Amino acid sequence: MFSKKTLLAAGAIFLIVLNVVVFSFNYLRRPSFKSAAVYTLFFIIGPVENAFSSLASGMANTWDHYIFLSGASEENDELKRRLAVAGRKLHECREEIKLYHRVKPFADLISATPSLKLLTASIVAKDPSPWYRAVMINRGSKHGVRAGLPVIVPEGLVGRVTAVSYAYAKVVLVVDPNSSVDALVERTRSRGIVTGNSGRECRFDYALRQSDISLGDMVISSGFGGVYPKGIRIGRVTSLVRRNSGLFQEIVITPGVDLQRLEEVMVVLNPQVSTMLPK
Amino acid sequence: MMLIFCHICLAVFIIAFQAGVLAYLPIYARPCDFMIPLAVYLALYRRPAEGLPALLIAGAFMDALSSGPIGVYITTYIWIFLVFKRMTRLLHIHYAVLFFIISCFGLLFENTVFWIAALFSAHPQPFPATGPAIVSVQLAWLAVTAPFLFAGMEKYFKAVDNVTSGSRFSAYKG
Repeated sequence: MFSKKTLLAAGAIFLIVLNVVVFSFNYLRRPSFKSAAVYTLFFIIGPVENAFSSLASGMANTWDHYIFLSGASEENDELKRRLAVAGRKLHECREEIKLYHRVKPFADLISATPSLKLLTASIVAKDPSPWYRAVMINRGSKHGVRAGLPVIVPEGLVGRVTAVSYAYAKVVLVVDPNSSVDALVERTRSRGIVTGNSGRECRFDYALRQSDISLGDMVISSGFGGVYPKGIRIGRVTSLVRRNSGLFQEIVITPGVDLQRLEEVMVVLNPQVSTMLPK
Repeated sequence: MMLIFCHICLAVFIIAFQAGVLAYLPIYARPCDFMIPLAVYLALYRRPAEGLPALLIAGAFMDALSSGPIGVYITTYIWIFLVFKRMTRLLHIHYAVLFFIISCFGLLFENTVFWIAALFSAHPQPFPATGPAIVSVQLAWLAVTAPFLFAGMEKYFKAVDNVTSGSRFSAYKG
């Protein structure tokens, strides 16, 4: 009835008209119709899209995390190994920094007091008794250490060597009951004897009642007796009782050195040198 | 001889551990002498020929480490050994609780010896104000560790007895 060409032309025209009609819906001021159409289409296509999307996502996930990462295990091992090495190096660096901060004051003190022969030592053991306060250091007679030598740190006086073996020595701390140091108050030059009481503090005995001593005054070694060089800081006055009767004041001093946390010390090999240490 | 050597090794290990490791811990600022439980154990459960040499040597080591008067630790350990050895003739003690109580007495005895030594030293010291706190902390340490020490020493001495089963002191109890 119609030729093939005619049918094709009619089909094309129908499609064009259909397109025009469909496109013209966008310009119609009937949103309810448009919304209903979109809603219907979304209602149909939404779950399908969702299913496909989930499937695609799952496949991508499987690909990324399992198939594609077939070499990730080796990479992971390598990264773990590198992390372990980096962690170890970081730890070493931190220890080096700590050591530097601990040792630098020692080096400063050595350079600031050229007249003193100082020997550094590490503490290897502490007195196991709470009643006595002594430490063992890893320097002995082979290093020139002998009994009676004073032991200091940059913060002040630590104690005195009392026993020496070939490679080790025992140091009685300034807070030990058996320790006594001839000392004076830095500000007023009032003299006294610093004696340990096995706790964290020392007594400053034989300070005359009329001596001008106040809380916070620094007590230093007097240098008398030749055991300790003059001017080593011992501690500050933290308690002071001046009674109406009696010859002496009752004074407690707190050592400037944290004796509980000592790790390195210095032995003064020539204590006869009467040198005022730098503050 | 083998048994004595083993006991000496154990004593030296305890001394080295408490002087070289525990002493650096902040919570161990007021130390407890863990040789006392060993001395008590040796007194209660081992022969004098085993215990006394180990305690003599341990006491000498402790005296060398400490700034206290020479012999104060040897005296303490030997007296603890002798007193509690004598006590085993009156009491049958094989419980951790009793072991803890007797160790506490040992610790108090040690502190008393130290205090007496301080009284008669060149610089006589009164009983320090911190004394009760020191002893309390020591007893607390002992309370926490005594059951483990007791169990550990039981295992240790059993193992030593097995190893040295040929020794004439082996498998001795009380």
